Amino acid sequence: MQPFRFIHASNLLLDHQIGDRPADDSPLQSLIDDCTMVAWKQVVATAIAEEVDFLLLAGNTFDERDHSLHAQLSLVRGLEQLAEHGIDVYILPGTTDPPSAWRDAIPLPDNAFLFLSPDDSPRTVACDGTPVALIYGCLSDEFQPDSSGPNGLFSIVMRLGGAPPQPLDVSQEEMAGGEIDYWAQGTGDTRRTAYVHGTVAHHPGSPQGLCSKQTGPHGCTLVEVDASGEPTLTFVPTSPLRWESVEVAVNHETSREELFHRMKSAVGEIHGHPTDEAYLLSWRITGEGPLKDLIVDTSFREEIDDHLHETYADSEIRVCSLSAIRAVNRPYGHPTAAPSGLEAEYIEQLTNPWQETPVHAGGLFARSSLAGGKWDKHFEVLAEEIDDSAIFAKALSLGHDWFAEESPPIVSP
Amino acid sequence: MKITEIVINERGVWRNLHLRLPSSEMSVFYGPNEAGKTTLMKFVREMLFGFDAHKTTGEVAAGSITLSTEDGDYVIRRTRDNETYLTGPDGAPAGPDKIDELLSGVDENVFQNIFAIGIGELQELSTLHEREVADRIYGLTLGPRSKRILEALEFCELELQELADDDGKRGKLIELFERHDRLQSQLKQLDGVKQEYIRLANQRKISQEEISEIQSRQSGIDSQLRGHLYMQRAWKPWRAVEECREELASLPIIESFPENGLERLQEIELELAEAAEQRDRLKTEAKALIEDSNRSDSDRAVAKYESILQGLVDHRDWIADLTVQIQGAESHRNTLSEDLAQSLRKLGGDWSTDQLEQLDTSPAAYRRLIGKGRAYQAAVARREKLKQSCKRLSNSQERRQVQLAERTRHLGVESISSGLEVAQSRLSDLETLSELKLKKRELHRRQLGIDELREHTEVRMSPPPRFYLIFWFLVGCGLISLIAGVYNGIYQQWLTGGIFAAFCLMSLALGQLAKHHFEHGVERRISQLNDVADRNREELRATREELLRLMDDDTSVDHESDTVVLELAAIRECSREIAELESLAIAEQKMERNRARLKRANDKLYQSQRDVAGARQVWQQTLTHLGLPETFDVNEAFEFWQSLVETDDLRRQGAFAELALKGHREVYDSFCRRIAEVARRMHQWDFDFEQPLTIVDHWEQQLKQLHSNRKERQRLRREAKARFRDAAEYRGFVDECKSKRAALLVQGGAANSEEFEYRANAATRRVLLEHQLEQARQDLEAAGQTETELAVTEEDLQLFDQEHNQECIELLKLEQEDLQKDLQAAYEKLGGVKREIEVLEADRQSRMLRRELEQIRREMRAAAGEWFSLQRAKQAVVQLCHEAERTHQPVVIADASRYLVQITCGKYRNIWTPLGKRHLRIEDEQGQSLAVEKLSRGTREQLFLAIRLALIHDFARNGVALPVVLDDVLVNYDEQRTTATVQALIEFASSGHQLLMFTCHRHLAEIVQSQGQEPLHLPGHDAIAEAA
Repeated sequence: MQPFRFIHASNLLLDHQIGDRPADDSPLQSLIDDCTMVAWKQVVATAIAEEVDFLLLAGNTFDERDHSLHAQLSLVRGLEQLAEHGIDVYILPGTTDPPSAWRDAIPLPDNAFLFLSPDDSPRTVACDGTPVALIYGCLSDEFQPDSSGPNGLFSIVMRLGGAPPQPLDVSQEEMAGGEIDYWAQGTGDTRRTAYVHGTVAHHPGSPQGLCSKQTGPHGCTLVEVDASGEPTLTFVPTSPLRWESVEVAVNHETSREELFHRMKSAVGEIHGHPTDEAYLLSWRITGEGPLKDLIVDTSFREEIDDHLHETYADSEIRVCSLSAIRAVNRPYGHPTAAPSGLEAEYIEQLTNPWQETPVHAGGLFARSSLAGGKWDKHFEVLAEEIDDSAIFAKALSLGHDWFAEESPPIVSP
Repeated sequence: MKITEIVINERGVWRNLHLRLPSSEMSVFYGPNEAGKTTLMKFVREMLFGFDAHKTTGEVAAGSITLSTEDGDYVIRRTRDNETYLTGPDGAPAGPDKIDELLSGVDENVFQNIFAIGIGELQELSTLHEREVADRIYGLTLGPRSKRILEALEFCELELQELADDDGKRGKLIELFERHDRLQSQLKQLDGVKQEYIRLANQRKISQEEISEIQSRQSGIDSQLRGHLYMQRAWKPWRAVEECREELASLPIIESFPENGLERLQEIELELAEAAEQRDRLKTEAKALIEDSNRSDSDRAVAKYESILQGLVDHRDWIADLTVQIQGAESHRNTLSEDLAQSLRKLGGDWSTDQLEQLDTSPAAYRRLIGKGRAYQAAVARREKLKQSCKRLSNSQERRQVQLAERTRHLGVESISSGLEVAQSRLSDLETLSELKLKKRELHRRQLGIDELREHTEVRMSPPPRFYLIFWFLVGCGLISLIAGVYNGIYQQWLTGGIFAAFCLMSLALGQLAKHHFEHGVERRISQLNDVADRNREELRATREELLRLMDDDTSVDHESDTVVLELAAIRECSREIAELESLAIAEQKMERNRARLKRANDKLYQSQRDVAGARQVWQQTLTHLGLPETFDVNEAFEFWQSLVETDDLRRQGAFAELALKGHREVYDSFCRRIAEVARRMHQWDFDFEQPLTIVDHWEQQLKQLHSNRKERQRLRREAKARFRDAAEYRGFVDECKSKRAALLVQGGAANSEEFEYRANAATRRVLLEHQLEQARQDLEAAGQTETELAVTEEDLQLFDQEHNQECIELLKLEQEDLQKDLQAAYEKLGGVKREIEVLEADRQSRMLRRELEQIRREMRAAAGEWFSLQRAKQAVVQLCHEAERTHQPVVIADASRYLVQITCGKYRNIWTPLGKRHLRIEDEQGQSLAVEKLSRGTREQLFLAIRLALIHDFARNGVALPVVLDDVLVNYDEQRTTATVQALIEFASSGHQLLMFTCHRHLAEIVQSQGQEPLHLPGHDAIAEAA
């Protein structure tokens, strides 16, 4: 087999809105707005620099609900750039960019191949005129390989994967079948890989993190297939913007200068990449001490940023503190002292509700007076998004405030 | 505390009622409607709490109530003046504080709402909302636990309402949802931007292709055009060289010729021609001007009568004003005529303007009318006033007479004075009778006293046994003393014997004296008493005889009922009769005075009627004199007079208007006649003489035309003279030019101008051709050098068709222009598309919207997290609430549930109150929880009765034991529940509560009787009165 190489990227979500942003007057706003498109340009640049044979975009290239023209323009321009270098691009629609969204999209250059229907036949990729790979676009849950049998080409299946923490959307049986060499997955932001009997299932994650939960570097994967058909995966960072959660410990003796020093050290420990342009930091303060309470003060965070800017003044990387939280020593639900009296009864009611009393968000809404109204859809979406354990923890906290023996009188709003 | 006795002196229908309650705890009183049950219940309440409430209604009440307590019986007595007396067990009065102590501090409201209730109180839930009562029922004094739960619940609800109210219309979350949807909608609208971009991109592509094509075509056409232009450039100089050569060969050779000869000749010719032309033109113009001035003569007739016409024209505006004035005067006259006719119609059918003219409407006549009218009105008013007064006095007199007669008849007397005499005599007799009776009784009592004294005296005539025992003891002692004295005097000492003898004598004397006293004093006393008794008896007999006489006279006095009470009643009756008769006598005197006043009023009325007749006659005469219709209504006459005056005024105004109109018309007609006369003189017959102003306007125009023509003719004649002068000057200049021309022809060797011109042109042409030939040779060389790529042969130049080549060039240029325009348009279009694309690409609205949307989503997630947490916390708190409601219900509610189960025969099993709420919930046998409002009236009353019984029980637990009074509270119960309720009440009473139940329903009394309780029948009021 002739060796070849390709880039596997997914979840570009071009021009998608960024979840956690600094203040509006932050100089990073422009970078934040364009970070997904910068990441895409980085993917294109990587493909050109690495002289890959083709590029796989395995789903969620953009979000149709964004109705963003810039996303599609950016995509088209990148594709045109790749076309100039003779690099074909194989695109699989995802959950946010279903086939219908692609049909209404700006016409793509000729080097872009879309799998818009389950009936689309696989595409053969040639390298210097020699076919080297067969690419399937799988839009359904079940994959049916080409019935013509093995043809000696490297088989790639582009299929959407389950969102983390679910495993890759490829069963052990499918991987063990040996008919497919590379399962290109695409949903979710977390990078993950599975190897079964020489078959690889891989999801490269997103080229750019979109919120503070998606910490660390993001990028795409360079896949190099050697003459024996063995793929080698290499992570290629592409994200210009990185969210990082940095933990700093304090104690009663920690001075302000010492805290700043620890923070700078913690930021310095972040392993940088050439594509990094800015870090958005979420501070997590552990331990006890007067500075722990100070950290939540916005002006103090600005002071931190000033110190960090001084430190990184010579660097091209810009740093901004997004938020700071105090690590809770006694998490909700795990009180240090056993509750008593009314609080205990409340917790009993909370933890052992009556038979028909709902405990999950959807059920809570269904039992409320607002159910069946015009806001059902919103509540249902929010119920899906909000973690039941957070609801429980908050309810527990409220009960503690109301019914704990040492709690002050309840003041109604 | 129990009520053992109720005494009503007076209260409502009750008088002198004395009720002694049975010793059993439950007493059921049966009585029909209006028997006074409710009054009795109210009386009990009033006895306990006072009459304050009745002072305003004017009801009076007095009586007492006896309360049995552990300390003994207390009697509360209240007088009709609401003075309260409390008597304790020892009969001693107690202070008013003791009543409060007996009532254990229960106020009247609580007693009325809980202890003494009727059907009205029972049906009202609000009667259970008094503070003290509500506290007991609803347990409003919550403990810290319940308070915490309620506060938490309230916190939850308020927080949830802040986030989203129950209707989903307000709240932070709702606002976020609305903003989200709004932004989403805006974002969706931006989808059109993408389609627009695609469209523009397609257009851009098409435009670019178009531009390429045009540019390609332009290139080809340029090439063709260049070839044609080269041929054109080369052919012209080649052709010019050829032509110059040929023409030079054909031209003569001239040695000398005057310099600029041809120009000079032409200048002279030109000047000559111009001067001749100017001369001729001026002559012609002068002639034309003269002809014009002759033609502009206007109408001679107008010129002849110019002054007259001008005079008429000058009066034109005045006549126009006059016309308007005539129209205005006519309109005014017509209006006045209509008003006059209308006023006459209003006055009546027989009124005319002639009558109006004869009418005297002067102020003097008006004053006379007013004076007489007012006098007549005053007389009538005075008479009416007197009439009213007489009528009033007459009515009063009549009424008094009737009343007097009625009262006299009622008293049964013929006349007031005789009746008064009879009554006074009778009163005197009654007083005498009474005195005699008193005297009789006195004498009788005195006789009895004498008899008794005599009896006692007779009894005392025989001395008591002890008297004789003492007497004989004294006699014995005296004898013994005598014997002892004799013995001592004989045997021992004389002195001692003397003492003994003296003692003996004293004892004998005392005994004798006592015996005499009893035996002779009593007899004398009896004799005296007998004398007194005899005199008394005689006096009594005389009195009785007098009494019998008087009784025979006064039949109203019952012989049998010889009681002081009746005598006093008769005296009171007689006194009242006398008082009434005296008042009648006073009334009679008043009536007499009234009668005299009536007579005087009638006299005045007669006089006033005569005055009225006189005034009326004078009034009628005045009306007749003034020519007005006869009427007795002065105001009507005044109004008619006013109308007449107004109508006459209208008539006068109309006459004045007519005169003014006539004057205007005469002037106008005179003007018209003058116009007609002038027109006749000018022989102008076509005018409409009905419109003189039009004629005048026409003449005015003619006059203007005349003046205008006159000025124009003068101007034309002046101009014609000026033209003739100018023509004479030009004639001299023509002669001078002819002399110059002849001299120049001689110099050029020509006989005439044509020859001179030929010779001049040939000389000039030769020079020019030589120059052109040189220039054409140079151009030909230059053209050959411009297009080195192109080559052209002599043959091509000879075959060259310039026109055809020019046409080709023009066609190619046109095509090139078209292509240039197309290219320009394509570029412009492309530029526009590019600009639009740039605008679309630069549009950041989508990004801003999404950024805002993301922010809202984040806020929505935070708010929703809070909302879900509060919902979940609220669930738990509600469960705590229910638990508290199940386990921490007030004891009163628990007791009430028990009573309700018994009363409703188990249909309703439980009463409970939601935590912190002031309303009740009832659970039926299926466990369904119902609000009080959902219950039937009977069940609601049963619920309230159960609550009251529980409350009374609760009061008793706290040491407040007051009697319970129920006034027909079971009327809305069915038979089964009535029986059950009676059983419950009996059990309730047996637990130590005194229960007084009033009913007017026999079946209820029978049910009570069947339960072993004997109902008490309330006595009738008549029977009580009879007993009194």
